[in-house]
Amino acid sequence: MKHTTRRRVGSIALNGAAIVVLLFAVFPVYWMVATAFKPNNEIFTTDFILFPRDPTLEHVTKIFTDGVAGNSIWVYMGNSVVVALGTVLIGAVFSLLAATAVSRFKFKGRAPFMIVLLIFQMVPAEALLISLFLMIRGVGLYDQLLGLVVVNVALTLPFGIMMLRNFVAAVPKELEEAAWIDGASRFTTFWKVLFPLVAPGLVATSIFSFITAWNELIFALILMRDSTGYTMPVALRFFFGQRGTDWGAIMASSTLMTIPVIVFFLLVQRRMVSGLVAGAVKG
Amino acid sequence: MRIAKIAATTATTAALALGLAACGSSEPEAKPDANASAASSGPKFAGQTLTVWRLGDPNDVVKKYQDELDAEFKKLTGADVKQEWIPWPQVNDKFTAAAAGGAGPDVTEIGNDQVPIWQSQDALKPITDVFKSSPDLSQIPENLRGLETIDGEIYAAPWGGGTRAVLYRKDWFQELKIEVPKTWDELIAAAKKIQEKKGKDVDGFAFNGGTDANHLLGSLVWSLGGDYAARENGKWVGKLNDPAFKEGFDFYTNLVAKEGVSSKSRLTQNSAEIRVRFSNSKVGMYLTAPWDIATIKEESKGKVKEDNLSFFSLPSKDGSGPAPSFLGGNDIAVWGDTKNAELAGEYLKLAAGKVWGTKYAKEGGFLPVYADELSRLESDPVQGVFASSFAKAKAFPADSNWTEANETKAVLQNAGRSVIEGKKDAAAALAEANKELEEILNQ
Amino acid sequence: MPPWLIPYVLLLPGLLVIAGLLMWPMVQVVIMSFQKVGLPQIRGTRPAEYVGFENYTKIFENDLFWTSLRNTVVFAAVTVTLTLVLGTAVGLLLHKLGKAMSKVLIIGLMSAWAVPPVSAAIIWRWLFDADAGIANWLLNLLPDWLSQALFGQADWSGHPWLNDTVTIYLILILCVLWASFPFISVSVLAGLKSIPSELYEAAKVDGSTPWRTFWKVTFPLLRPVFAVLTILSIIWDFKVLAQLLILAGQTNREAYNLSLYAFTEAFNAPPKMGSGAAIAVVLTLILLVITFVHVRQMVKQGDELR
Repeated sequence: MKHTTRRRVGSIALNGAAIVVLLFAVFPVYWMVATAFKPNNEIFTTDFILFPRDPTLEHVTKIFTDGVAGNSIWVYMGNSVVVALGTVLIGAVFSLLAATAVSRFKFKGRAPFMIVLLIFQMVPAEALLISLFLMIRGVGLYDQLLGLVVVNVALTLPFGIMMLRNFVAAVPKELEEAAWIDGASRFTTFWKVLFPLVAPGLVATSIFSFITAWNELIFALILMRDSTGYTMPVALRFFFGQRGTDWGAIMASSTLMTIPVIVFFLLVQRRMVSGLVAGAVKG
Repeated sequence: MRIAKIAATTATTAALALGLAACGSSEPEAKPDANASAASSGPKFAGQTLTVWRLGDPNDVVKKYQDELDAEFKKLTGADVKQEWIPWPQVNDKFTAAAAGGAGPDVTEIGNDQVPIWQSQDALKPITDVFKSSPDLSQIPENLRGLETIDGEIYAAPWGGGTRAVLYRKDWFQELKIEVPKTWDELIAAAKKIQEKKGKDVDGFAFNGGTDANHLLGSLVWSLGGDYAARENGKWVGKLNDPAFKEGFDFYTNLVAKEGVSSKSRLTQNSAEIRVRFSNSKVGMYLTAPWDIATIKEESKGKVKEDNLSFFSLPSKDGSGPAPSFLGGNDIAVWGDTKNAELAGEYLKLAAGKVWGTKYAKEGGFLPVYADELSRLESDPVQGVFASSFAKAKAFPADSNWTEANETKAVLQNAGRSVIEGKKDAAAALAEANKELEEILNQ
Repeated sequence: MPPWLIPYVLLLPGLLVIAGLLMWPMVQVVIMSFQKVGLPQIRGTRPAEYVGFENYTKIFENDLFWTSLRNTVVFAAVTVTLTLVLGTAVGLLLHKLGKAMSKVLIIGLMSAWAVPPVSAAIIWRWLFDADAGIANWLLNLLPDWLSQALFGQADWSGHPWLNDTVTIYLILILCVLWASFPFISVSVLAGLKSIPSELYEAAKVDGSTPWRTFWKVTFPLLRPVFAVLTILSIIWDFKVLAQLLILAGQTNREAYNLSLYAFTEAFNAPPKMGSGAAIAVVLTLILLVITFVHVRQMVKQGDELR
C-alpha cells in the first residue's frame, strides 16, 4: 500500500520534471515557429506577443515561391541533405572501423593517435579555414559537394572515434569470441554481434555528425563556387541584407531546417532500441 | 517578400520622386561616345565569359537590372556574363578565400569603404587606364573617388552613393509645433519636447553606438571642423584630443548621459535596431539612409504612414548649415586575379558609365555619382536632403586599417560607452582612444 | 593478412582524412603563427616574413587577450557544469520515464538541438529583448516584494540585458546550455541502454537508493562516456563563436572570448592571419593543459586494453 503510493508520487514527480524540461527545450523552438507566422509588425514590436494575433503565411510563401539568390529553396535543401547524409554514412563507417581498431587491438601508435584526435578537437575550425580551402582546391574537390562531405567528415571524425571507442570497448570480448567459436567469420561477428551492441552509440554520434554537417556555414560558403552549390545555412544568410534583415524569412527557413533533423532522428532512433535486444529487458 | 518589396518600394519611391527629371533627360540620351570603345571592340570577345559577383539576395528590381545590363554587354562585346550572388554578412569570408587562393571573379561589386583593405591585400586591379579612356568615368567628381584612389592609382569605380540625414516624425512635429532644428540646441529641445509629450520610453533623438555609430559621431565632429586623424609626414596622427573633436564627442555622449534624449538601455544599437523602434513609434528622430522609409512602412504595417516621415540634414552646432555627412556607397571593381582584364575593364565602363551607373543608383535607392544627375535631385522632396549633403560628404581616414578601428575594435563606440556608463571621463577616454587609433592606423 | 596489420587497415581511411584535412592545415597554422602574413603571402605573391614570437608577445601585451581569456574560462566552467548536470539528469529521467512520455520528451530535446546555432542566438536575443522579451515580462509577474528581495528591483520594463558583459554572458550560457544539453542526455541514454539491467536488479535487491545506485553502478560503467562528454563539452564551450557574435554585437569587445578574438584578428579587415593563428595556438595549448589529466590517462591506457 505504502509502496504503491510512493511509487505513484515518484511517477508524478518524474513526469512533472519531464514537463518542465520539455517546456525549457521547446519554448524557444515554439518562439521560432510562432515568429515564422507573425506579420512583420508583430515581429518588430515593443510588446510581448505570445501567440500571433494575425497569423500570416507571407514568410513561408516567400521562401517557397520567391526562392533565395535566384534558386528555389529546394536546391539548397537538396545540397544540405546530400552533404549531411554523406557525412553521416562515410563518417559512421570510418569511425566505427577506427574505433574497433583502437579498442580491440594493441598496436604501435595507438596512444599518440588518440591524443592527436583530441588535439584536433581543440583547434578552432575557423583557424584551419584557409589551409583547408587551399587543400580542397589542390585535390580538385572545389565546388563539389563531395569536397564538402569530406571536410565535414574530417571535422566530425575525431569525435566519432572517441565516442564509439567507449561503446565498442564496453561490449564484452567474450561475446565475440563465442561467435568465433560458433564458426562465424570476422565480418559476421562484427555485423551480428558487435554492431547491434554499439548501435545506440552509433546513433548518438550519427545524429551529432548529421547536425554538425547540416548547420555548417563557412566551409559550405567558400568551398562551393556559387548559389547553386550552397547549402541551407548559406541560403539563410541571404536574408541578412545590406539594408535590413528579414527576420520572418529567417525564422521560417530555420523552422524548415529543423524538420529534417527530427525526421532523421526518428529514422535512426529505432537502432537505439535494438541495442537492447542483445542484452536485456529494460528494468 | 519583404526585402524584395522594400527594395522595390525604395526604387519606386526614388524613381517616382525623380520622376520628371529622370524621364525628361538623361535616360534616353545614351551618350554615343560612352559606349564607343566597347562597341568598336564588339565581336572581339565573342564566346568569352565574364564572372561577376553581386552582393546580397537579388530581388526583382536588382535581378532585372543585372540581366538587362548583361544583355547589353553581350550585345556590345559578344561576351557572356555569369552572375554569382554572395550574402552580405559573408562577403568578407568569400573575399578572403578568393584573395588567399584564387577562385575569385573577374568583376565584383564592393562597398566603397572596403576598397582600401582589399587593395592592400592585392585583391583589386588598378583601373586608372580604364578611367582615363572612358569619357563617362572620368566625369565622376574627384571628391567622390577619395576612397578608390590609392597612391595615385584608381582601384574601383563608384557605382552608387549613400549618405545619411535625420529621419523624423513629421506628424509629431506638427502636433507639438516643433520647427525643423537648425542648431544643436534646437535639436535637443525638439527631442525633449517629444519625450515630454510622447512618453519617457520614447527616444527623442536616438543615440547610435553600434556598427555605424561613426556616421553620427563623424558628422557632429566634422561640422565643428574636427576630424579623426590626419596624415602627417607619412604617418597618421590622431586628432581625438583636439577641442573640436571633444566637443562633438561630448554632444554625442550627452545625448544619453546629460540630456537623456536617448535611453541608457540600448547603448550598442545601430541604425537598423533604432529603425525597428522608430517603426513602433518609440523614436522621434534618428540619423539614417533614405531607404529606411520603405522598410518602416512595411515593418509598421501602416501604423507609421509614409507622408508622416521626412528628412532634414543634421544641423551644425551654430546653425551655419548642414553638417557634412559621411561618404558611403557601393563600387564596382576588377578582381586582381582576373585572366581577362581587358574585358573586365569594358564591363566597368558600361556598368558604371553614366547610363547604367545612374540606373544602378536610382533603382537601388542610391545617389548617382555624376554631378549633373546628382544636382537634379536637389529639388526632390526625399532625396534632396541627401543629394545636397552628399555633394559635400566626407570620408573616414582613407586607410585600410580604418575598418579595424571602426568595426573590429570599435574604438570610439567603446570610448563613448565607457563615458556614458561613468567609467571614465571624456578626456581620459579620448586620450586612450586616440592612442589606440594611432596604433591601429599606423600598424 | 597478418594480424598486426589489421588495426592499421581499419584505421587507414580515417587516418587519411585526418592527416590530409586536419593535420596538414594545423601544421600550417602553427607556422603562420610565427609569421607576419596577410592574404598575398598565403597566395605566394609576396614572401611571408618570419617574426619569431612577436605575434605571441603582442597578444600577451594586449588587454583584450586577458579579458577574452577571462570570459572564455568563466563561461566554459559554468556552462560545462550546468550542461553536464542537466544533461545527465535528463538522460536518467528519459531512462526512467514511461515509453510515451520518454518519446515526447526526446523529440522535444531533438528539436532544441536541431535549431541552427545562429537562429538559436537570435531567438534568445528576442526572449531577452528589453521591451518585447518574455524575460522582463515574466520577471514583472513576480510579486514586487519578492522581486525586490531577490534582485533589488521590482520594475523590469525595458530592463537592458545586452549592454553589459555579465548579462550578455548570462544569456549566452542559457542559449548554449539549451542547445547542448540534449546531446548529453541522448548520449547518456545511449550509455544507459548498453548497461545490462541485471546490474540494476542486483542493486535493487541490495536495497540501494537511486542516488547510491547512480554513483556505484551507473557512473563507474559510464565513466568513459562521461569523460569524453566532459572533455568535449569543455572544448566546445571554449570555442563558442556564432552565438556570441549575435548576442554581443560586433562592437562590444569587452565581451570577446578567445575564439571571437582570434576570428576577428584573422578575418576582419585587415586580415592578420599570423596573429589569428597565434591566438588559435594559444587556445589549443590552454585546452591541452586543462585536459592534461585526461590525456595522461590516454597515454597510460595505451599499454592496457580494457
